[in-house]
Amino acid sequence: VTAADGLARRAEEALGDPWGGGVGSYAAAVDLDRTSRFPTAGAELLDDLGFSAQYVPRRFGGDLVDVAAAAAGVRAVARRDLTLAIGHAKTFLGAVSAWIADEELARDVVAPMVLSGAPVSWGLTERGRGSDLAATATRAELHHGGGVRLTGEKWLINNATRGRAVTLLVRTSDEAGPRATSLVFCDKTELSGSWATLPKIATHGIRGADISGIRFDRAGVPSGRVIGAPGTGLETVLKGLQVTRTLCTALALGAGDAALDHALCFTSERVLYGRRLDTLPAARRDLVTSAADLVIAESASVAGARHVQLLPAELPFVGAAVKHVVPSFVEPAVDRLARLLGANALRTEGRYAAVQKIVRDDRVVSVFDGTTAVSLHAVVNEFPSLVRGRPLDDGGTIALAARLVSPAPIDVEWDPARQRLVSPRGSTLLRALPTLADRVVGRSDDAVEIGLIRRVLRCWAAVRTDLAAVRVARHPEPAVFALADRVTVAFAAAAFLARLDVARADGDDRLDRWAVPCLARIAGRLGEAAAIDRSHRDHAFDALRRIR
Amino acid sequence: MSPDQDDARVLDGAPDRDDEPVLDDELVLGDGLVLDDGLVLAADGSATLPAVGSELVARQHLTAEFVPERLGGRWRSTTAMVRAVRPVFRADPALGLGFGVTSLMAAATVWTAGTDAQQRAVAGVLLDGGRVAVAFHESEHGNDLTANDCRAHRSADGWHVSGTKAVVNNIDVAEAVVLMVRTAPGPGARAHSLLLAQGLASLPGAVSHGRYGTVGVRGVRLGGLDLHDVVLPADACIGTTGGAVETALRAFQITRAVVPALAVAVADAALARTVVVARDRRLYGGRVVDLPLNRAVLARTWALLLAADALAGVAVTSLHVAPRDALLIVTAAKAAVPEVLADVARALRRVGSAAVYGRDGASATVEKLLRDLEVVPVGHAGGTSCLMTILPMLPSWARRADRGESGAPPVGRRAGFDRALFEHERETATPDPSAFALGGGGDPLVSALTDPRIRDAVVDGPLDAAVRRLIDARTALVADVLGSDPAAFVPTGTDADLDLATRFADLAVGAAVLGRWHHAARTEPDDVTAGTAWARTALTAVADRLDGGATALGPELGATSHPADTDELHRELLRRVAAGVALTIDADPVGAPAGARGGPAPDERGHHR
Repeated sequence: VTAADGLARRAEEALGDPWGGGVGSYAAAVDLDRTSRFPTAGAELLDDLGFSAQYVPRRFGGDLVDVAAAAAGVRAVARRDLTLAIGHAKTFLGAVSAWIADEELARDVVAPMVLSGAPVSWGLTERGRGSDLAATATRAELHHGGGVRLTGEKWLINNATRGRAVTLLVRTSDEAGPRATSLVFCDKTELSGSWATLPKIATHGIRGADISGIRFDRAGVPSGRVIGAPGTGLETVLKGLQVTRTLCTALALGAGDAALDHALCFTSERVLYGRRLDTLPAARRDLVTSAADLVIAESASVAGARHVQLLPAELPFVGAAVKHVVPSFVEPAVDRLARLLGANALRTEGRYAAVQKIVRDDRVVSVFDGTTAVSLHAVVNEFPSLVRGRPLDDGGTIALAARLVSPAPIDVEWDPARQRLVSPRGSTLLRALPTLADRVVGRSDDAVEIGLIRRVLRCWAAVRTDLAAVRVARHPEPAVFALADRVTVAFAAAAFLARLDVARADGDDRLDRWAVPCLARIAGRLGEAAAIDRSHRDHAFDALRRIR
Repeated sequence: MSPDQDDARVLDGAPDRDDEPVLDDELVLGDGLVLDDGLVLAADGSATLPAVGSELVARQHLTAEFVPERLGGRWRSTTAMVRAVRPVFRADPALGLGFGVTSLMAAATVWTAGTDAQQRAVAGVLLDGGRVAVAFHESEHGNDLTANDCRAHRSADGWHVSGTKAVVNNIDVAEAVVLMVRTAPGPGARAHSLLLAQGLASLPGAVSHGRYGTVGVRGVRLGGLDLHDVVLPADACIGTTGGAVETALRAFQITRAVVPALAVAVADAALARTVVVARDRRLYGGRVVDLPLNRAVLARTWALLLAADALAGVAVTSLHVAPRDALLIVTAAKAAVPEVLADVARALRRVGSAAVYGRDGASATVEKLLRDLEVVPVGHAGGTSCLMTILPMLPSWARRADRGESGAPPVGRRAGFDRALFEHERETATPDPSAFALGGGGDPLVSALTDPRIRDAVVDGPLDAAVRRLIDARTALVADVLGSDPAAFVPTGTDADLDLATRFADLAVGAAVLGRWHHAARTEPDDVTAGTAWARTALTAVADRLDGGATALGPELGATSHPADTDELHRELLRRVAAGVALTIDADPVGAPAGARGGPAPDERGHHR
């Protein structure tokens, strides 16, 4: 189930047979990973494809309009090799601050550089400070002529060494508070004075990625390279993360696709106890459960990306929500699928050698762009706004929900000026959840499905009651995080129901057989566990078998 | 470090069995750290075992732990064996697997069915610090051992063996190998036999596959052999011809108990080091270990680790005090403990977050331990095959449990809960595998949930709500099993719902927690397991698992933890780590974990050999 999209299809074609031996194959990715080499050939292939144009909004001369379509392209690459997808798509993260906060710099400097295929990196974190961006210590002295002098170190930075440029979050004021930081676009070819990149850091996952750092000792940057107004660094970063977090979810989905691909292949070949493994109920249950988790995650991911275009003011909630909820479904699914392969999932050679790599690589996604705790904390901060939003049931809302999950590209450009730091009225999709559920029920003749939808609605009502009653401290208690988790699952549920509604309205029945498995998984995560009965499970499995 | 160094076993003479069996933990994990994290990481990076570690294992004659006392070894109490070997698993699981656990698996088949001469020969190998390989696995058949193809026939000059064994620990370096071979065509449990081979890899017709690479326990020497009409002596058969499956089912009850207990020690080491990393790291103006979410996650994670240890400990003791009932208990432990520890691992990765992701520096060891932890239980029967062993035993369990609930008098002592499962001091003689049953048996463990003495202690107390949920889950399982088609519970489990077996294994965790709490409250009132904080947290987590609602995120969002429980567990957790006390129930001294003392980072090249 993928958004029908040109970029993803072109990437698939260019990358070739995943089970073959070419540049885009699983085998090639494993080989590079074994010796921690960057996938240079794969990156060149993407460059030849003009993949970088997807990182540049149309108004700056690129191809980026439908964010979900760009995400589908990234997902296609991530399926082959997460290291390649992360290493290449990082350029969008490096450039996003300019797209948001500096039209002139974006048009004159950043866009041409990205379109030329040069990697751009994003230097946010520092040693020992992790996700605490307000504690940034790298200093930038702003000179009257507009130039900047940098001192300090950025660490654990993807592409810090490979990148031609690094967008840096730096301290420009000694005063505490949110206006103390700025962003500087640092083109290494323009740097003067003393600076050096730091050695590649050995990591367990995405071994070949250039995770390194960069250190400055009174290094000079020419004038015109501060992004937006001084003091707006943190604000721009937060708005950038709202967008990049939706894109990050495509990485998790790609890893999930690859794990499912391997598990389906293995279980169709392996004979155990005289039967093919995929005829054993336990294996079949794990396959269907995991595939359902991916369908749910995909729904949240697509809806999240479309918010960038259609509902940017809601991104403070949605970006964090999908960044949490997508890996929270995909990561256990990848683990579950890998375990179907038994000892083969642990081997670094042979036909299934990619599985151990997929598991290791996938784990990095939940850390990128905000860990579980960071993402859920951001969701907690939206609680007051979520409580304010009353249910929506008008036709305009339903039409909007349909566009949020539409398989066809949406020709509306992202307008960063409409982004906010706090969502004003919660989440439209969440507010429409009961109506979307009613519409699906209205077209359904499956009693199991209708029962599950009622269950999900009951859970959602309980979540709303808890939201209205919760008290939030500066460092929230675990129960508050757990509530935030349920809110994000409800968002995924709304996205899935919207898809189901659209598909049925269009007479497309491909999603039908996933309704029961997905709703059962959603209900389970919301606190009302439901098993997937055998007939619905086998029905869904038949569809899976046809994919392969 | 050369790959051959792990073979260089330093032997300072044969073990003198008149000595006190003293194990010097200081040498392995003391503060002086002969074997420190830096050496372990460097060895892992180059896919070898740390030479110093191999030397320590040899010097301490640790392989003698696996040899029964009557054959000159140190194995009397299996709990004592576990405690002796746990320091190695805390330091380096690869070393633990490499030097011994697969040797124990192989040797157990000989202790179970071998002749006196075979037993003496294998005891001699282990008492000399050698290795015995267990060559059952064939790549094409996974855990379905009865489908294996490697075949043997007997002729005048001995056994002729032809076929392939793959991904077997130490197969091409072990002094002795236990081979599973097909001696009759077709499926069926009597088609296979066990053969004992000495120096198998150097016999004419044996061709080594070289090493297999793995992502965890990289230092373990996994190999394979192609056997082309290899001839073994006529007296090589262990037990009767056709008896392989029965022998293995008996013998592996020992390792099904021991392996989970050792895996718990790996998780213990990972948790302790995570606490060190989180204690020494600051975020948002405070210690990472004190952020409310992390406090709750770590407290709950420790409670789960103790729960896993409770079940593993019961399984180990059951070999001695309830051998006829052990199969169900040890298999439940083998199925459930890795599941609980997987939740522990997921939680620890969340707490460590990006810091754990690097392969250098203080937290690299945590990631290595978690990686190894995934492999330790897999080296044995996988989870599904354990569930398939449990499944056919459920109908008789359910009928008995149903009778017990309707008030019928218990049939014999074994019908009810047996507190001896928690009394290690009863392990006074090496377990006798011939006493192990191959099925049936009573239920001395899960019946703890409804035992009247324990109920009296629980009612209206802090544990009551969670225990009631587990009793309801037990009642529901009994009803579901009795309501299922009896024909569905065939040994291969192909048509029955394995969830039934999973639920039984989860109930076994809960029962072990409850039993351990009750036992400790009476005998060791100052121990953390005598308190209700861990028990309530763990029982609630198990009940959540059984309800199916809390599995997706594992323990890391410990929303159901009681704040007072979190406070108590968090305090004791930090105290134990600072004091160098193990986080397992035995609370053995371990020396402060070397989180901040990770040693020099191995170079890039070393990592990827």
